[in-house]
Order: sequence, then C-alpha cells, then structure tokens
Amino acid sequence: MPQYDVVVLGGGPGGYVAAIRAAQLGKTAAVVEQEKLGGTCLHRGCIPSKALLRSAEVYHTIRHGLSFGIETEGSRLRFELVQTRKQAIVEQLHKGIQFLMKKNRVDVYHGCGEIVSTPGGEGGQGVIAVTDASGKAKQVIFGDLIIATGSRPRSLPGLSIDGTLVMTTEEALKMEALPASMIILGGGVIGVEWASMMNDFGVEVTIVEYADRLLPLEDAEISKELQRLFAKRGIKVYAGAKLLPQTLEIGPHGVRMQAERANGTQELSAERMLVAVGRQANVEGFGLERTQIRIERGVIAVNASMRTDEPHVYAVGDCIGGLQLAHAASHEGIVAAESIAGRSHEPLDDMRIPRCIYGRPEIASVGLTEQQAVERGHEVKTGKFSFKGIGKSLIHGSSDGFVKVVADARDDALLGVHMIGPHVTDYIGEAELAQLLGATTMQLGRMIHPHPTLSEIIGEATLAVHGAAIHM
Amino acid sequence: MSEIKPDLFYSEEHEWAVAISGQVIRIGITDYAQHQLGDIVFVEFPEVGAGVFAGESMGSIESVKTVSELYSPVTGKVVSVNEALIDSPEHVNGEPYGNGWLVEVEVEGSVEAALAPLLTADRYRAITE
Repeated sequence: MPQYDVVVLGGGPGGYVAAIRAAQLGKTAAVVEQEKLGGTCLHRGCIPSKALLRSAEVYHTIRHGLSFGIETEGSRLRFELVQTRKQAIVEQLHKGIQFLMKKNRVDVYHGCGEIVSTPGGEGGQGVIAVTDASGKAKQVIFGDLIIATGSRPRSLPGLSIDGTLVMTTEEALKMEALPASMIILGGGVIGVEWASMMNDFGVEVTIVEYADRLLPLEDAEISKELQRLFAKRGIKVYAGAKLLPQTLEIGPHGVRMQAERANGTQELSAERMLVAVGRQANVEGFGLERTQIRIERGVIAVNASMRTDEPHVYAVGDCIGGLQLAHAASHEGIVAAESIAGRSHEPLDDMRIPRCIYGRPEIASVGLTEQQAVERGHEVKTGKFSFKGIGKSLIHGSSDGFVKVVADARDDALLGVHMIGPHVTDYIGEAELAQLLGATTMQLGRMIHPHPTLSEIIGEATLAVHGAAIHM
Repeated sequence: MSEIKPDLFYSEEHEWAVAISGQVIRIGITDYAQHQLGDIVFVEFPEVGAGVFAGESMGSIESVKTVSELYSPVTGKVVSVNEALIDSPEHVNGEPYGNGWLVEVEVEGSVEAALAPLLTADRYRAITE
C-alpha cells in the first residue's frame, strides 16, 4: 500500500494548496480528487464566472464605445466564442496546477476517496480507499489527513432543478446560448454577479431575494448603492420576496412562478431560472461516520489549527463553513499543513479576510460593517468618498460608487473598508494590509497615493473620517 | 435666482408637492434643488404600490456631481412615477415643476391635511435666500 505523511481529500484551492505547503515542509503528500484538480473554484466557480464577466464587460464597453469617441457599429456578441475563451483560461490554469503537483512531488489519485480508518481509531492506522471511474479500488495509508471536500450549490425545499430551464451555476456556466430573460433566485454574491453578467450580455434579468436587500451580509450602504445601480441598468430587484415553490410552472417556453412580498404576490416569468441560494458543505459519502469527527450545523467542526476532533485529521475550505471563499480555503490549507509540520501560525480571523464581488461595478470589503461595529460596542465614525471626485474613474468611464471607511472614534482604529466602484477588488488589498499592520485611518489617509489612480479614493475616504478629504 | 411657484407646497429638503386630485399628491424637486445638484443623470424611483413616509427616503437622484436621497414630503402609497425621466432625466433640470415631476402619492386622509405641515412658497423662499 502506498503511504504518505499527508493525504488531502479534495483537490480544490483548499486541498491542492495544503498539499503543496506540506510538500514544501518536507512531507510526502498526495491528493485524492474525484473530478479535476482546481475544484469548484477553477472549474465551476471563480475562474469561469469571472472569465464570462470579463467578456460581458468588454461587450458593454464596446456597445458604449461612442462615449469614448469610438463608433462600434456592427459589433456582435458570439456567445459560443465567449465560452471557448472561458474554457481556454480554465484549461491553462488546470495544466498549471497539474504542473505544480509534479514540481512539488505531490502524487494525485483520481477517484472517489473514502475514509476507511483513522490513526486515532481502532488499529491506529489511517487508511483512505480510492475508487476510480472504472470501479477499481486502491488503498492509501496516511499519517495525517486533510479533508477539503468543498461544497455544492444548494436548492430550496420543493424546488426541482432540471439543469436546463431551472439551473444552478454549474449548468449556467455551460450554457451554449443565452436566454432572452432570466429569473435569478438569490441576491447574494453569486446572484449579483450573474445578474450583472446576464444584463451586460443583453438578457432581461429579475432578482428575487428573501432578505430585505441585496448582499445582506455587506454594509447596508453598499447594498443600497448596488440596488440603485442595478435599477439604472434595468435589472429588476424584488427584495423581501419569498419564492412560492408550489407555484413553479415549467413549460416549453420557460418558467413561471410567484413570489410573496409585503405588498402582495408578484408574478414572475422568464425563459430560464438560476437558483443561487448559497452552497452546501460536502460532508457525506466519504466515511465521516467511521470517525469521531463532529458535524455542526452541516459543516465539519475544527479548532484554530484546522484540526477536527480526530487527532491527525484536519479539515479546510467550504466543508468547514465560514466565508466560503477560495482564498480563505487556501489560507486554511496552509494553516493545516503548517500545524501538521509543527509550525506555529496566526489564528485566522474572518474579519481579516477580504470579500470580493465581481459584477459591474465591483464590490470589495474587509472588516466590520458599520452595523457590526456598533453592535460590538465601538464608537463608530465613518468616512465616505464618491468615485465622482476621482479623476481616474472619469477617465476610466465609470464613476459610480464610493468607498466607505468605518473607524473607532476613540483610537482611530480601522475597523472596516467597504468599496463599490471600478476595479475595487484590485486595491482592497491596501485596506487589508493597513488593518493587518494595525494602521489608524489617519495613517492610511496620509499615505501618498499616486495620481491619477483609482486607489486615491482610499486616501480620500480615510481622510473623510477626520473631515479632511481634499476633493470634497 | 431660482423660480418658486406661489401655488405649491414645499419641504425643507427642497421638494415641492401639489394636490392633483382629492387623494393624490404630485411631488418633484424645486428649481433651487436642481440648480444645486447640476445635470441630473438618473432618478431611482420607489416602486409603484410601495408605501412612503413623510421625511423618509423614497429613492435617490443622481447628478453629475453627486447622488442625493429623495425624501417624501408626505405619507402614502406611490401610485405613479414619471417614467419619461428614465430616458430623459434632463427634464428635472429643464422643467422641475412641469415635465420633470417625479412621483405621485395617494394619501390616506385628505390632501389638505397631508400638505398642511409643509412650507408655503413665501416660507420656502426665505430658506433658499
């Protein structure tokens, strides 16, 4: 039986990063993956959706070429080529991960992995059984195991997903042609990105969200601005709306349904429906029942070192819940690998993990929302600056949005930064770094931002906390 | 010098209001407000059927310079919004009291009672000078 110091179950951004880090630290390592290395992020999530969003943005820019002084008559969307481009990006990155596995001498087992026994159980040996596509099983011995089984799209009770008219993102990413209209169920991160993308591709979009606003986990002012900008683009948003699954009618021409709202029932119809109501951790079908590992509220319970209740078994990424983000998973993978190697590390704090949403405009945030800061007893002071006052955003051709800074008035601590506007995901890192180094908002505001850049807005918004913004 | 119509009612947030029937009040922003804001590029309307409350935000108005809240001067239910502004928001600048009207709200009691707390033209002129 092949034997490794570390076996990782799942080759997504949590799993493969953990394997590389373990190998860097001198461990022999293997990854078990039932589909393709790169996981949801690379094949069914971040990368393909952002590739489609980029094409949508280019199409939007071309159609509005005249605002830049460029006539673009006769431009035409070729969606099949959009899909080809997306797939080429995915495949290139997939090859990249395969290369990284070889380079770091991480063995890859293709197949479905299942825990047979753990070092803490009877017999004292950790064994994983891997069954490949042809049904052939193989056993692998591990010293430590890292579970990184990810998540899958969730549905709603009573709502059947046929994959054609009613889809999750998995099917939507593979659409060969665009529908004329789409209902998007769920106004969270995924729903918002798809709404923006579909609208830019010329699809008529309606979002139905159960909470009273889009992006209910973000700062309320961000939600408000996004809803305003979506209204400006003709995207219909029904917030505070409860889907009635029993009213769903699927016919040859599309989908009909009703949603209940405070001021009555809303009739909805479209050619397609995208269900984007969140993701569910994968915690079944790989032998957890044979271990002492605890499942809490549908996710695997771990401690600050990512260890489960079993010695020598760790878990990272979407299967442990929290912020279901690829960069969070990767970081957790590194923490797990370093814990196994006996290295110490800083505990992970959700408030230090930046959150990015890639519609048009983009949204990025880190730290506490204003409401969270108040609830935690901070004496809150905020600063806000509009992109209308930033020269580079006018040059760029999109001056919608703002940056809002949340600070504690007593010690000027930077509690949160919330950005909506052009390319904000590219410079939220600056706010994160300032937080990491414990900078005050005044220190961040005094940083010299190059001109003209979009990042100037961070300087202005932090200075605005002190009433010292210059261009306001 | 901005124009103030003698027969309208006004709010301190620079909206005007006038009864157009026994139950419905039409609302817009004043000439003074549109001058302050500059060229209007987008009006975010409340939904038809939605409830609005006097002194509370019911939408927003975006100019080249800024995005401002749109406050309702009265309490009631939105029965109509000026959809012509979706394509031609510049009417708010050109004819703030005419084709640039924004929203029509049906009030529960009498329109007189709903308008009574608002400012008269003379009092509004005083706060803009």
